[in-house]
Amino acid sequence: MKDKDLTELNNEIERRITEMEREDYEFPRRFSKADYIITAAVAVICLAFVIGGTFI
Amino acid sequence: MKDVNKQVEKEAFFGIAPILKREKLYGFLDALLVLSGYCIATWSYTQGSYLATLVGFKQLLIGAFFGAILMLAIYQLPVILSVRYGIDIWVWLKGVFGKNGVVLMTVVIILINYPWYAVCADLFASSMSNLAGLFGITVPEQMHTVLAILCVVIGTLIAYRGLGAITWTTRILVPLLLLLGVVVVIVGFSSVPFEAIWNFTPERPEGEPNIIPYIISIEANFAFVITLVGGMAEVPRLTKNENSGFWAGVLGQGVAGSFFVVVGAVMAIAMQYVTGEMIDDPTMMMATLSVPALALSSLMLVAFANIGTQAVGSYIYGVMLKSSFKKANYKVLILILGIYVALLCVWGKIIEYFGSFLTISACIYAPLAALLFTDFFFVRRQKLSLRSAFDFKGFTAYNYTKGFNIVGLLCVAAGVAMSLAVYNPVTGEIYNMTLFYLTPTGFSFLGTALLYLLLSFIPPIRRYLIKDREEITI
Repeated sequence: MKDKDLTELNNEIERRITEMEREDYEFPRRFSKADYIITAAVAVICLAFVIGGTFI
Repeated sequence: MKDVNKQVEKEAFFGIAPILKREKLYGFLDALLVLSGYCIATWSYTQGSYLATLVGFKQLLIGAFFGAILMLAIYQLPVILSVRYGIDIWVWLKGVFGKNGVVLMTVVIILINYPWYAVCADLFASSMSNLAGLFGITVPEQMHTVLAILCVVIGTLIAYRGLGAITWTTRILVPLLLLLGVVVVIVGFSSVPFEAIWNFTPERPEGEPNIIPYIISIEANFAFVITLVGGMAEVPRLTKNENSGFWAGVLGQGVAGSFFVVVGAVMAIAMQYVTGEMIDDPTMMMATLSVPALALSSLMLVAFANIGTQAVGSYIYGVMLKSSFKKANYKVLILILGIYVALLCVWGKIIEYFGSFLTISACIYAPLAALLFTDFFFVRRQKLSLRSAFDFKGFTAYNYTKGFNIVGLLCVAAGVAMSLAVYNPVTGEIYNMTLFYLTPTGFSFLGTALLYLLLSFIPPIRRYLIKDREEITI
């Protein structure tokens, strides 16, 4: 990549970061508390099955 | 056509740049299909066959699905950062390893991971030879390397055309492959009595405890799924919601990938029942157990699955390399990756020495995943200086010691040592039975995470690690 292209790429990255910094920028929907709870529940259930597997 | 070229050009040029929400391509289903396409490969059959040598079918099912999803649900959580900021995890890892340290880690991960693709190419060559055999054509030995390289070339060409080609390849391929998996299971179960598979237990020396092979099988599942860590974010960063990106990764590998592991096990058990030999080559199984027409179509699908894997792998690792080698061209990078795999194919001994590659790689993935998890949630608390991560002038938070974060790199070394302190994967010797219950990968993950977290509480080390707070703007 030429220096000119790299400058253009950096400008583009800067433009995108600036856009994300704007107060009205809408980020993708966040991982909610419910998502964390579901993930933890899935992990616990899987762990229980893995431990239970030792008794088969 | 113009749109495709434009998309490729855009992806090639701006592959490293944060993807904004309006540019995101994937909903949950598309991301799931792409990642399933990446996870469904013939190496899954090899894994299934390996697991069948360790444990009975019921324990195998538990390990393949619940063991895999357990590890995935934990270590893949940080992909939400890739969805949120539209960046690869390797951009974030500049905070963990430093701007030069991350280049070192990227190259190490690719060197130890990419031989998987040479295995894929090798299996493609075997499948094509078996296909030719069904038509009574004997493929000369010398053609094996040529066929393997053909797989690399086609996969690289698809990746070269960019995301659109990959998306369409996987949209067609993945449902067909899932169908193939169902066919293999039906053929397997209908060729031998159901009980022979359901009640299968491998032969073991008299008096050997059941628990050790079970733990080794869980370790194999942990190690198998954690190999995805380096390339886990490239597809999720293109998804529209954080939970879509996360669950597409977990289910792509944990359900679709694991289903194929189980298919491989069913096949190996059925083949052992019929021929007395445990064989992991699906083409051989189809030719032995199935009717010719079904065998032919299934063989073609298995063969082309390897091309799909090659294509998605080239894209994922091409973008990953681009995160570290900002000046490099995406197309040049995937060509270099293709040449690396082609050279491994020409060498021709990758299957013979693959155990050594796996041994080394499994020790490094767990600490890497642990550091990312701890750094994202507990050390940097989901905030990164993007300008320092992209190495902008005047932003030096991730320069550390000549570009290397000594703390992060030492933690990787400690994680590798932890893994090897528990179990020797070459000789199979267990050094510490208590810690072995956690599995070497599990212990290494937990130990590295805890070590990094504790170190981050020590004031001088915290000051060394966290220099970016004043630069945080998002």
